[in-house]
Amino acid sequence: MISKAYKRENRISPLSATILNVIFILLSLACVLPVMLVIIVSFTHNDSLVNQGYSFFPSQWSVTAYTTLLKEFSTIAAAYRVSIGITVVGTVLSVLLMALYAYPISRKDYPFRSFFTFFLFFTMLFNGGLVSRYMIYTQTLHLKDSYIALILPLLIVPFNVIIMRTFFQTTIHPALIESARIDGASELRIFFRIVLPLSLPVLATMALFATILYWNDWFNALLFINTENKYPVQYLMMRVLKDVQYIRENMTLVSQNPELLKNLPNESLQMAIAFIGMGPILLVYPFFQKYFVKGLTVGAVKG
Amino acid sequence: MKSRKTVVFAPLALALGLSAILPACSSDNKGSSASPAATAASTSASTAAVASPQALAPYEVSIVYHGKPQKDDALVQEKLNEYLKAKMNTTVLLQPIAPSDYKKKTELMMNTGEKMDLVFTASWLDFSANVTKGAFIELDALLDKFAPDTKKALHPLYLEAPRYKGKLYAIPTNKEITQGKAFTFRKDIVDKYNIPTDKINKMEDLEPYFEIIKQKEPEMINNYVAGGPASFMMYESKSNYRPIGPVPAKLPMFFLDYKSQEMKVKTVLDQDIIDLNKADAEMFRRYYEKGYTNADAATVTTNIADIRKQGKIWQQTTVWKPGSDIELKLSDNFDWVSHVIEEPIVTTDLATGSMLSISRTSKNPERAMMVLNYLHTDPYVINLVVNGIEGKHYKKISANRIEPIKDSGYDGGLFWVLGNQFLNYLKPGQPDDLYESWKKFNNDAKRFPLLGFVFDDTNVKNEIAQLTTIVNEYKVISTGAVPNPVKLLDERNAKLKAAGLEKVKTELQTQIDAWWKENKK
Repeated sequence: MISKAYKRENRISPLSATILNVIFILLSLACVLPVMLVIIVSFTHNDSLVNQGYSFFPSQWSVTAYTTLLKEFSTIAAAYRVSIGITVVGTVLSVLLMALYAYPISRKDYPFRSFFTFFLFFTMLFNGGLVSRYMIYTQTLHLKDSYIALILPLLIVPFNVIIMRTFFQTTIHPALIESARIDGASELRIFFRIVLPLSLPVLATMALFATILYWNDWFNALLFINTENKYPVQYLMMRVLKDVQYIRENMTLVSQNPELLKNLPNESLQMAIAFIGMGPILLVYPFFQKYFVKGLTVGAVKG
Repeated sequence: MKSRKTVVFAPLALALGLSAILPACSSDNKGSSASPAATAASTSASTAAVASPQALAPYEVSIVYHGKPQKDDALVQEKLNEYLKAKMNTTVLLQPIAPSDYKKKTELMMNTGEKMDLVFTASWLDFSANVTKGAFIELDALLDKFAPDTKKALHPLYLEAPRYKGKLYAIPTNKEITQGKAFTFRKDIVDKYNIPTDKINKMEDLEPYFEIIKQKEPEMINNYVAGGPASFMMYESKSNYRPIGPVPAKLPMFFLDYKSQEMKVKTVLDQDIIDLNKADAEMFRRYYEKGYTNADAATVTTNIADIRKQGKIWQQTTVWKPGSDIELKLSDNFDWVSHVIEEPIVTTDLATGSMLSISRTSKNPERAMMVLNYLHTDPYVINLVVNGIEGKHYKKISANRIEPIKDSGYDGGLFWVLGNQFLNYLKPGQPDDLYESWKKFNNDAKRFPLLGFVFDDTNVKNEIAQLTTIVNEYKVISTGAVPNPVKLLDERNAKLKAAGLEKVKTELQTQIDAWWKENKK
């Protein structure tokens, strides 16, 4: 029960309440409206797009974009399969591996702690660049056109490992580990039975990060994938957008070869693809959300 | 105790550390990509004896080309392999790359020395820069030996253009060798208002008709302009000056009088060109003020094709080749007539607009050339690649005419990319004599004096970058949408001058003189 006095003391004056509400309403509108616009444009008739531009109230509606997409159903279904596949496998592996890296370097009694922390940190400062990355994957590891090439590059995100390390350091008290060891638990047992269950918030947060990272990745597909049915959904989407932009920038080329314009998706189609591309991540998000704040409080004191 | 921990975690952490560092940190490999370039010359020299096709060892020729990957690529490839396997124990690997990614991805592949055989390239894909870098091997000997029929089929001008220091580095797609420039009109409008299309030779001639159409067809946009340079008609219809490519920011700055025998470079700072520019700027301004030009000319990005489809365009400036009116009709269902206003000239840029090279990383350039020969001479092979499989992707109507099947998984957009277009089946709407008229068009085409010359901009890279920025900044002048265009032109020219236009000109002139001395016949 909250006492009356307490209530009064913490009450916000109607004026500030209104102002705060308005601010938050505006903020949420700023988040929701663009998405709404994407959906509306995807249902807009091309003629009214050309005449009016983007509008929340188009003069003509149409579902052509979606019927066009249906014709490409098998391609899109394949792309969805790829996206979901790499996201699930990638997320599980990524969280596991990052935890396995973060945990040892969080332990003060691990002798090579500072070396491996620096080793990780170093990759954040310097990276080999595109050419060397491409060479490693195609010519050393021979991963061209394989799903592994979509999963491997994103497995470990150094910054996230450091967040995890901090979480382990601040949340798992050394005494806990020590007492487990006194009870005869092995290192692996401690890690899987004690540390991981206590770290659910950070694991969930990292899982969300990894999910988003994998779901949104198109660049690795651009680099390494050559077969149409191995492309993830995001790459198909990106390609549509980039093709349109490319045509705009290369009008001379187009005027010499008008057929380049033939299958050019119009804007409602682009938006329709964007819409189906963002679907699943919107569904996944709420499930992770409750862990979000807890998992990210880097260095907070546990009460 | 301490030692036990170490045993458990050290290897684990090491493995993980490696996997973290692999993708991120491997710059030591960068250096090695340059060295294979040196071997390029030796591969081409190994054109030793080649036995009969049956005795050839199996080899897979990868073909990297500019085209969207399609659903049935694999099926087509399979069919192709059946055929080529029987003919010469060769298979192909089709590697289409989406247009927007093509340049980036192929450059990465070239820089990392990935194995490729046939590679699509073009002037607009930095062909000459890649040749200088040693990405392609020279082809003269290979062409003579393994593809004599291809050589015979190609117009000789084609083999003059893709050369560097006299050596051939690419085989162009066999199609129309050049393009004329034309005013294209919608036939119903021309008939309705009795517009004498063959008397319209420059922008100014259109003005009276703009007025009529504006009165009578208020829905129409007379002169549709989107953002950039409004029209390429200026120099072509009013002078003998032709731009020397490649042009920064797609706006010509250096010119040559193609009829004069002295190879004298003119720039936008020369008085005659300034006069032309000013007259044009004023004309575009007038059209804008009178409302002939769309009001959003400076900012709009909508493609004219979209507006044409809605029936709002009745005239447009186009690049022209026989059959281009029909191409327009196929895309938007209106009938079009064109009046060609510029005599077609073969320039380096046009003749190198679509080609195949053989990569220095090819392990068997001979075989690559043999496959290329099939693409140029065998109707079955080239139609398979371009149109797909008969019965599945198209229906055959007569010996050389087909009807594509809609949404079949292979759409036939590759005809200008690979091989010999004159062997392609005709599609609905294309006239029977299309290829005849192309051949005639090619034979009649005039040779630009600098055909084969490519400007090496190494010494003036900075200047060109600056010029490009300035040109982009002032692009809007030619839309007519800004007041006082002449003043802006002067301002732009002053900036161009300060940015070193003259230096680029001198460099260009020196290179042209040297080239001319070497190539003068």
